[in-house]
Amino acid sequence: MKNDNELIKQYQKGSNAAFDELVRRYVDEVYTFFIKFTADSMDAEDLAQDVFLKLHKSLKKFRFEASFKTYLYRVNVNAANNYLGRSKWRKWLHLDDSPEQIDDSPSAESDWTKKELWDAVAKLPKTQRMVVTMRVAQNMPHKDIASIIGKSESSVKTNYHYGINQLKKQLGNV
Amino acid sequence: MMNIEKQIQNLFTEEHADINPDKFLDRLHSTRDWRVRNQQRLTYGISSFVVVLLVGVLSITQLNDNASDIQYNQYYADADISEEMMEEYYDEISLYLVDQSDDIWSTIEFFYNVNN
Repeated sequence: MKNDNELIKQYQKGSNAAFDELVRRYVDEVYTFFIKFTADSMDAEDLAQDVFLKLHKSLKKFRFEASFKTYLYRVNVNAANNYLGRSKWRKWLHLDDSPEQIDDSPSAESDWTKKELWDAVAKLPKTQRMVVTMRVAQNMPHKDIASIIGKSESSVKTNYHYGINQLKKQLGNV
Repeated sequence: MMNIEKQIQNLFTEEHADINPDKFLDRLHSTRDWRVRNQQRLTYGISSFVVVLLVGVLSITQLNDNASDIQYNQYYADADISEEMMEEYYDEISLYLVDQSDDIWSTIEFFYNVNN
């Protein structure tokens, strides 16, 4: 089985089959990442589609300075941040006040819904938002997050700490 | 672990349906093709617009001199007509009109209108 870099090199030489192989390898991981942000599976699939469409363009110029997985996480986190930003605007414009949103009830274990959580995450400063996103959605170790966002491990821990405290304050008012 | 973290983790342990990679790839291919077609259409649209704009601008530049200017330039600008020739022309046309006219007063009125 070819590794990610070999597939990317083949794709850069014009093999679309190599790109499809990469998609098959990571589609489940990307979809699982996004399903944690969204209320329904269609939104998660749309976000995953956007990510792979972006990769289809950007991998042509991929320079192998970081591993593909790290790069993929960066693209995922950026897409998630954009989604959270859009959600904030949608909320502000009351575009989510449609009847089907009523089904978004809290799970038995928590006092607030997934939507309320991500609305609160969307209000965090960018770095805190990225760190919290990766930590809570992917359960990723601080070290891995540090390499993805290009900051030190201690900075990641600090941002995570502040982010969680901020969430606690915001969700406490829900 | 803080209580809020536990709550978040619990929120994310919900089961979700798996994604079908084949269907996902089919959709990805069709979206990609659609985007490429749209991109091409946009490129053609912009190119056509630029060509039409260029032709329009060039036409306007060519038509900067209006038709009467062109005719004047073409027929009269280079003509060398002296005052003597003009006087001769007026004399001849006056005689002709007086000769041909049945009513001398209307001819005189015509000359009066021409001169004033």
